[in-house]
Amino acid sequence: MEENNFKRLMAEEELNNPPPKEIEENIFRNLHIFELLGETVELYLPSAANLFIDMLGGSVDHAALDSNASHLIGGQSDNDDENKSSSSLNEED
Amino acid sequence: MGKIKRNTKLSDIEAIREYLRTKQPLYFNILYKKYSIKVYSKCLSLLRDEGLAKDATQDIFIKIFLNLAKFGAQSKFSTWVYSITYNYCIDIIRKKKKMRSIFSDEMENPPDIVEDVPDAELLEIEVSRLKVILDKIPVGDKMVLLMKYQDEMQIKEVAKVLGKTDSAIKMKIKRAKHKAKLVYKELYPEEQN
Repeated sequence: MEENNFKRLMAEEELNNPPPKEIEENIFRNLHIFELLGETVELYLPSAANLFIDMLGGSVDHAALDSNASHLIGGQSDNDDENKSSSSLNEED
Repeated sequence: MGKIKRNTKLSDIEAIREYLRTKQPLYFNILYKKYSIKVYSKCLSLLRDEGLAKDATQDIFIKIFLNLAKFGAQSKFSTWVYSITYNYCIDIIRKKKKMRSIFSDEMENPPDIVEDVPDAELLEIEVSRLKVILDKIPVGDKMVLLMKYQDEMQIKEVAKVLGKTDSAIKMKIKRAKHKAKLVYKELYPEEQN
């Protein structure tokens, strides 16, 4: 990048006016809040929607929901069980 | 969870990818450390108020964070960051001055006869004098000159950031250079040949 006096002026201004530390603290505090909000929405919004459907008299497949929820928080899905049983069948063969 | 890459010399794109993949604030911090000085300095230079510049820098980085996944890498990350910064400052100045646009209607008007100032003439002005001159010309003119000579943005990029046509930007830069030269002549007559 070629130097010119506009860039020298920018370098001078950057050197004389560093951003205050509180900006960084505020930004990262906000980012943490956004992340928490995102995780909360991801975890509880489907349940809230289903509760609403229940209240209106609709039907929700709770078994399927439970398996999805356990998958979300790191549990095994139905597919994992199927994979295991099929592999054990293969071993028996 | 994947291992955190301790290498702080990651490129912008790598830091963005790693942040989106792992959600580790460390990666966003790499981008913050690299650009916060420039963003704050630009805000301070354009808004001329420490409090406003502080709030603006904070809001700009939150905006960058919220839109990080939308960054398409069609342009350089720095250009994307600067375009958010300039547009944010334009909005603040517009609201503060209660103006519809900080770029006067001259951009849409037919071109009048303006002396074409060679780049070298402007780039040779001494740094402290350049600062005074840039503070004297209208903020819209200052902005296009900073985009062209400080950030090395192409005409197309400036046009995209400001939502104008390429030819309008070329004319705007030509007029901004002319105004800067007039202010230079007025303030420092002893330096004119």
